[in-house]
Formats: sequence, structure tokens, C-alpha cells
Amino acid sequence: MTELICTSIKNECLASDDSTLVLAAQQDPLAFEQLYRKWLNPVYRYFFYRVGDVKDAEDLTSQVFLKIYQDLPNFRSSGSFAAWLFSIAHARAVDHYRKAKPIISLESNENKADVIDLAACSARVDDISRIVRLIHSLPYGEQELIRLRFMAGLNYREMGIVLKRSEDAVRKSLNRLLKRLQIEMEVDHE
Amino acid sequence: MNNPSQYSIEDRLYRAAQALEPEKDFSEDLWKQITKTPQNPKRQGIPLFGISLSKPLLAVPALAAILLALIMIFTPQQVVQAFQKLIAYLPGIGFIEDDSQTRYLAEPVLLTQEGVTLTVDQAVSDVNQLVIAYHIDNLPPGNDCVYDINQVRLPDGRSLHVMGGEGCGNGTSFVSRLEFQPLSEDIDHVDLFISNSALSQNCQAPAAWQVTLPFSSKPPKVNLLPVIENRLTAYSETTAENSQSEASAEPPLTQRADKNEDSRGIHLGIDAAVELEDGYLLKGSIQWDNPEWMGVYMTFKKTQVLDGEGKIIPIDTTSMSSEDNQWQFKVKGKSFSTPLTVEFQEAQIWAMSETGGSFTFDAGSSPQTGQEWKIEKKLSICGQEITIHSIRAVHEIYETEEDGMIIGSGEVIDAPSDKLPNAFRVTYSSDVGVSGLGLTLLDPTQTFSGAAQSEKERPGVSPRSTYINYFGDLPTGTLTFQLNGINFQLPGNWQASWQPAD
Repeated sequence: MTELICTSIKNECLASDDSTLVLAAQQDPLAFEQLYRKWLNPVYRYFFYRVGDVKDAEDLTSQVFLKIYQDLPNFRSSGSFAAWLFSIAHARAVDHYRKAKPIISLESNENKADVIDLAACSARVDDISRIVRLIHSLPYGEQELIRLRFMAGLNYREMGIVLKRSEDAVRKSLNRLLKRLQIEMEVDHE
Repeated sequence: MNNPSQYSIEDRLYRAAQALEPEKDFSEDLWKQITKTPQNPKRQGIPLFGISLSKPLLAVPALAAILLALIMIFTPQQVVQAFQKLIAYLPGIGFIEDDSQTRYLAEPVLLTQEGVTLTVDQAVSDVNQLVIAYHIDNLPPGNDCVYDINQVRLPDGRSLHVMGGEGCGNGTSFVSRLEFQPLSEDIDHVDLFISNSALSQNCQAPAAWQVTLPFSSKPPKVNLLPVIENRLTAYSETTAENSQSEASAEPPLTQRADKNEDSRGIHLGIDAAVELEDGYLLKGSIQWDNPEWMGVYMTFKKTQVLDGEGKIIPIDTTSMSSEDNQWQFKVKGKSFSTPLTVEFQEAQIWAMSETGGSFTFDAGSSPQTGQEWKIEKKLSICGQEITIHSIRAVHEIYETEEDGMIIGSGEVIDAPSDKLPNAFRVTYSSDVGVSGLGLTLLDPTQTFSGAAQSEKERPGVSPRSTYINYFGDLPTGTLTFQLNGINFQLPGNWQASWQPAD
């Protein structure tokens, strides 16, 4: 519980610092490094849990930061940088098909959980594997809620901006989803 | 009502996320690449505004004609900026940057399996993305084939996953337009893999397709349509420096007959136009003045296009961009009097704010169901006035237009039970058509997982209630809630005009 509170506070602090960092970066391009270092991990995690491949996640992460850096002079610093950043990331990753589903490799009928290379994640591998399988069993829209909240570290307001939904709707959808996942996890344990 | 297991799923998701970090070499290499990347210049002026072009645009697809049209309308500096980025429109693909690095599918690629034919019509890779357009025909009648698993394989074995696009079928054919990461300059061919969705229960056609797509410089038959971009700004001030160039160009926007007598801080702009074979594609954006508005999402109750005589012209509403408040229409046909006027009516706005008003009350050490606190405080958010009347601790069903009565996993219940969340019900009123408020507790040390939503009343009905739900106990002590978002209607009529070429 303590860890969860610290993460929540950290997200709020991350957002409130951004306007200062953005202004600094708009005046001195090299100052963009602070924003880059701060948001690199969340962006990478968001993509990794979306595409399941290190190289693809790196490629997408690179695209987003290059675009952000290029367009930074025209970003209105009164806006939410995190929401802007992940709106672009979301647009890169979004699948507009009618029946959203996880991306499956065409090379073999491998288990979805095996798409994620967990070799680099030494801690709690079994639990992480279970989490990954659970996420990838969800419809695309629900996967995106999880990715934006937990991998990207956005708050509900920022998620609403990225998903073009009200903060109310995002909170409600995510809370329902988490309750359902909790029940499924408990059944899985049994 | 405590539910420790509710927190553990979140905790486990956070831990799964935190266990992952990019390689240090990648991080450092990317930073070096960023520092070598040029930035886009800062745009002058504020939001784009609707303009009425009294001189006809020359839509002849010849560069000289386009240049002449631009010189007639834009200042010399803006002409130079426009041609630094040669945007063109390719039907079936969309807007592309047509420069020396842009590569095109050398020729259409066909593959027939069991009487069903795949045709990759076009593919273009510019600096922003790779777009592939294909269709599959002669599908057996009555099938539900959905070819929504698509992947591009590069020569080095890496795969590109779909980043966007759409695909749809009508039973006998399936049409798709896919977006991927752009190709690097050294790639002259890719393999496209297409597969049928596993959710299709009745697809009798071949499930998997593989074709090689060769890329080259622009083939002679590529039908690129010119895009006339509008780079004029809304409120350009007439200064000694630019007044001379403005005198020879179109009159400043502020002197034109502005149809938006009261824009209410919202501005509609037409950014670009493309002449199609059977109509025109208009592309634009929506901007707003209020600096407090953040994360704005805006829709309109009614959108229409009128001709020069005020007659409604049929349109195809294509798509709203997922990145900005963008819009684009295809105006059907070309037989209408000019100018065309794009009209948006009745805005529905979702906006966030970091400076919304707040209220404080003492919930005590153990707030009980039914306990109520009078607030009676006027607050403002995003330029709208809200009066918070009261806040009440409740343990009851909440209902919305979207979900009806729902609790937790979706179980519908008829009466309060111990499964219901604890909540604060905030009752408020306003003069505008508010349909939702966002509230946040300013003290993050409280252990809660909250949600806020509105009741089912139509906008304008007052007073209204919004619920802040908790999956554990209600927070205690002195609590300060701040307004951080609002969903409201804004009556109005916003217009922008455009004059097509003769």
C-alpha cells in the first residue's frame, strides 16, 4: 500500500514539474535532456507492453522522442506535456480495426505470454508472467487503460486527454477493470 | 468496506512495469540522435481563423500554378516556409510529404488464392510513416472474413507492427489502409503478411497472405494531388515591419466580414484543401483562446457545409485525428455556388484545468452514511461558474447513461448491498449546460481509489450530483477537493469559408 501511494504522489509530482522543464527546453534545446530522462522509461514500458518486442519498442520510443523534440518549440507550455507525449505515443501504437485484439506473431502459433521476452526481468518472473498473460487476454481498449495507467504512469486526467474521454469515464472504466482483474487473479491463484 | 486485494492487483501491475527498463546503450544512442535533430521553427501568431478567399485558388496540378496561387495569397516568407515541406494528397493513402526521400510502391502487386484476389494498390513511405492500401476481392458470399492481422517484414528480419489505419469488409471484399513506421532509405522491398482474425467464425476464404512489395522513387503514373495549405494567422497585428507586404496581399483577417460575431474563444480554421475527381477534401482544425483549458476534446452537435446561396451541400465526414482537434470532410460534387461555408453548431467541450476552484470541509474521523455537509460556495473552472451546494456520504447505486446500474464486475443489482462502494455525493448547480465535473482530493496521503461521475440528468438541469466513489473507506479529516475538469455545452455557431478554384 505504501508503495502504491508513493507511486501516485510521484506521478502528480512528475506532472507538476513538466511546465518548468518544458519552458527551459524551449529556451535551450539541450535542456530537453531532463524531460527525456524523466519520460524515457514510461514511454519505453508503454511500447514494450504494447508490441512485446525490444527492438520494436526501441524503434517506437525513438520515433516519439524525435517527434516531441522537433515539435517542442510549438508546444504550449500551459498544456499537459505528459498527455501530449502519450497522445503521440498512443497514435503510433493504436490499432483502428473494428475487432481490437493483441498482435500475434505470424511466425508460429506461440503462446501470447511468450511474445514478451521476460528473460531480462529477473524479479518475480512468475508473477510478472501471470500479469502479462492477464493483460494480453484483455480487449485492446482495456489493455490501453492498463498501459497508460501503470506502464506510462499517467493520472486519470492525462489518460482522459490521450484517450479523448472524460476523466470520469476513464476512472470508472479502469476501476471496473481492476475489480474484475482482481477477481480473476484470485481465481487463478486457486 | 475494505478490500485489500483491490490494492494488490494495482501494486502488482506497478511492479511488473517497474521491472522493465530500456538498455543503457539504447538510451544514450537515442539522446545523441536527438541532439543532432533539427527542431521545427516556432509558428508566429495564434490560432488559424476562417478566411474567405476572394481570389480563386488555382488547383491545376502544376508546380508553377501552385506557386502563383500561393504568392497571390501569402507573404513571401510564408511561401518559402510552405515549400520547405511539400505536402501532397494521394487518394487511397492520404496526405504525404513528397520529397526526394519519399518512396512509392513500384507497381500494384496481385496474388490470387482459391479464386480470391489480393491487390496491393499503393504504398508510400515518407519521413513520417509507411502507408499501405490493399483490397481482397471475390470472397465467398456469406463469410465474415476480417483480415486485421497485418505485419511488414523488413529485409533484416525485423517486423513492423501496425500503428494505425482501418479495414472493413462488406461480405465479398475487404478493404484496408495500414500505417507503419517509415522505412529507412536503404530498404527497397518489404514483405507484407496478412492474416484472418481468429475471431472470424465463418471465413471460408484463404486465411493467410504473403506478398513482396518493391519500393522505388515516384512512378510516373502516381496521381498526386496538390494540397493548398493555409498558413495565414488569425490576429496578425499590422506593424511597420509587415504592413507593406500586407497591403499587396489579401486584407488582414480582422478587417474581413467576420461571420463569427461572438466566437466565445473558439476558432475554426481551414488548414488545407484538395481538389478530388468528384469533390473537394477540406481539412481543418479547432483552436481556443482560454489558456486555462487543458486537454480539450471538442465535438459539435451539428456540422454542415453551405454553398454561396445558403444551400446545404452533402459531405462525407471522414475522421477526427487522434492527436489534435482536427477535422476533415469530403464535399461531394463540384456543382455548387461559391464560396463554401463550413459551419459547426453547439459545441460539447471536455476541458481540464490546473487552476479550478476548491472547497474544504471536515469529514471527521469516521464519516457515516447519510452524513451531510453544507458547502454553498461559488467556484469557477475553465471560465464557467459552479455553485457547490453540499456533500453527502452515501452508500448507494449510481447510474449513468452509459452503463445503467453497474457495480464492480458488471453485476446489475436492484437495491443497495454491501457490495456498493462508499461515495461522496457532491450536489451543485450552474448556469451553463454542465454534464460533468471532475474533482480531485488535494491530499494524496489519503488511501483511496476514487472515481467521479455524473447522474443521468440532461445538461442544464439543476441541481446536479456527481459521485466520488471509493473502494475502501471514505477519507477522513479535513478534506479539500478541487475542480479539475468540466464537461459542458457551449451554444454557438462557428463558420469558416473557402473559395475553390474556377
